[in-house]
Amino acid sequence: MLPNERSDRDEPTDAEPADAEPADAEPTDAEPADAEPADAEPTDAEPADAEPAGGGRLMPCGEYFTSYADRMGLVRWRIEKVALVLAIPIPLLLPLLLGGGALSMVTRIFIFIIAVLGLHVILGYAGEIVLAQGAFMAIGAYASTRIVAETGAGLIPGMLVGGLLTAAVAVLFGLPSWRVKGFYIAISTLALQFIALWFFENNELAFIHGGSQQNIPRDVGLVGEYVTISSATEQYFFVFAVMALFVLLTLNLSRTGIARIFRGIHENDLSSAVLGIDVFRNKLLAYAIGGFMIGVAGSLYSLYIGFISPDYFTIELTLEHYVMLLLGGMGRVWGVVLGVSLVTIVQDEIRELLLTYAADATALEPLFFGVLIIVVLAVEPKGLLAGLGQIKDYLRKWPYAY
Amino acid sequence: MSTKEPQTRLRAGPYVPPEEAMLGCRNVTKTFGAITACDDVSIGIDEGEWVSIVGPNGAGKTTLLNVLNGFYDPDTGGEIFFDGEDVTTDPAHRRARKGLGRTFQGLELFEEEDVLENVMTVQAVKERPSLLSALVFYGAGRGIEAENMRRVEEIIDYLELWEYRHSTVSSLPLGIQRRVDLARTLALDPDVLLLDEAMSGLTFDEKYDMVRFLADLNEAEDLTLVMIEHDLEVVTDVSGRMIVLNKGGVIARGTPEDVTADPEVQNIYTGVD
Repeated sequence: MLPNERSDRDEPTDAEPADAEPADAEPTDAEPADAEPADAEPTDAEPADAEPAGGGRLMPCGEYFTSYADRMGLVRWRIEKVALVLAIPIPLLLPLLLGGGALSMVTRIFIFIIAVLGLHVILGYAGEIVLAQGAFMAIGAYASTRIVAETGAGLIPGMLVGGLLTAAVAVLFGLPSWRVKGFYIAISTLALQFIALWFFENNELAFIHGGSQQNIPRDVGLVGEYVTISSATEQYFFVFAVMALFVLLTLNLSRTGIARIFRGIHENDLSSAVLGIDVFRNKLLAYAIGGFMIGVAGSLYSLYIGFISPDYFTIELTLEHYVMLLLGGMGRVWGVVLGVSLVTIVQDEIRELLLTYAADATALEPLFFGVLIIVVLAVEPKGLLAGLGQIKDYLRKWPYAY
Repeated sequence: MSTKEPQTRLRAGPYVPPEEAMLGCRNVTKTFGAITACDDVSIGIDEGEWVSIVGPNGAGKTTLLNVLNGFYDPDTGGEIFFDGEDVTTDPAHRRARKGLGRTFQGLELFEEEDVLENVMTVQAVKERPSLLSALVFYGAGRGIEAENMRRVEEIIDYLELWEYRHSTVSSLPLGIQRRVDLARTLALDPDVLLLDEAMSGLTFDEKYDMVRFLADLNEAEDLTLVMIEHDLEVVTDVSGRMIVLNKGGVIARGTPEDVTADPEVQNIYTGVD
């Protein structure tokens, strides 16, 4: 409770300065009834008020929410509602529109979105550099395969176990973050990457991971034997559902205190601690959440390929996911979606081109992404989404500079 | 361990034994290698007091604040008390949650985020949804967030930060940044506020504003304020009590009138006469 609390304003007034503007800018034009927008309920139906009052008025601008809960909504503006309604049918229609190859690519995009979202929670929110994406996905993949093959419990329990196990390993390798940070924690997770590959390549340890190279059981049910996933289209829908769920969960996380605390640690761990944040515990929480998502993505990836081998989970996979994250923009869920989609599509195109014209020039693809990431970091370090935001800002303010 | 004033050099002035004080420390020494930053300091600050800690550069003021809020551990033998409780072994974040707020000389803000997010982050420390309700969001999580936002808007309102609500903190002028730092700390709902040169680098008007807010909090909310400040004019105007440090030790304490009249303080601190 603060002194001088203003009781006349129970309602949120997010657009205070913007509200005051019409009255200030054109005092002659404003009728007395309208001229007190700052104190009277400014949040209440401003656009409706302003328009019938007469032509030539200033356009209403700012945010007009009547409750804090509304302000936190995911779909807040009319244009977002329209976009949502238009966007919903697209993923449902895709299997009809796309051929097998393209659909498979979209499925891969969805899986990688989950994996990169996990990375984004650890790196984008909590700011911990983790170079063990491949290892995390491998753990998820092998664990879920083992569960599915040996217990017959079904895909979803397998995924959950894979995710939880990955989360546990992520937390274990996050423990050094108690003392070290930044670069050094990156090295510790890089070690995990190599340990994990050695572990999964070693067939003598098959009693743990079930064999270095395994075929994924076909026609497995989601839970037990129910709702079997066999065709590519069914797989697509299943992966889409899981992806949508994780996008929603991450969006929810990003607008609650937990992600704020992660971002606080990322921005300034010193003041975070002094302001009451248990830095170490929250870092581990970020590792757990991110690790879980990457593990689930790993088990979906194994389902998608139909076969697991350590070759799919090398350091290249880690770097590929970093390109996706950095290109799209760290810290924003939609940036991840954008980055993964773009990189995967471009990657496929490049591979096809190379196959047609220069089958031997295999280095060109990593080279392309290497150059791309340098350019992105130099031009707009916050990624494509932030760049788009700047263009939007520019257009909104045009012809003024600010 | 006696309740008599622990140092013979102490001048007259109200002194609260650390155990009974809102915030206190006893026999705190802090050395960094060969350097003794704090030398056997004992202070006690009563509830609702406004105490200024002054002293020349390198006197150990910031170190003392860091020891008080748990950022540094004192050398063996030193004890810290908060609200009558021994908090010597508590890490900084736990002391903060108990109600010990602090601002920084160097403004450790979350620079890439806007003002609202900065304050919301700290508010989330106070009132944070469980992981499950955060992930589900609709229901309990949303309620907590809405309540947090209401409270944050209240703080922003109070500190007159409306127009900067969505501005990235690093783009704001220093005076506003200091106010954001204060807002952020207020979100902790502290009982004691440690201010490390909260007014350095501010213009007269900005200082005036800052003092106005602090005085209001101190009087209306009984918020205990401990402030490191170089501007003696401000210090003597606002604080009820002063503690003068030099070379890590307390050389004087008492009301501003007594302390500033003290010849040793004048000699060491102001360099006048």
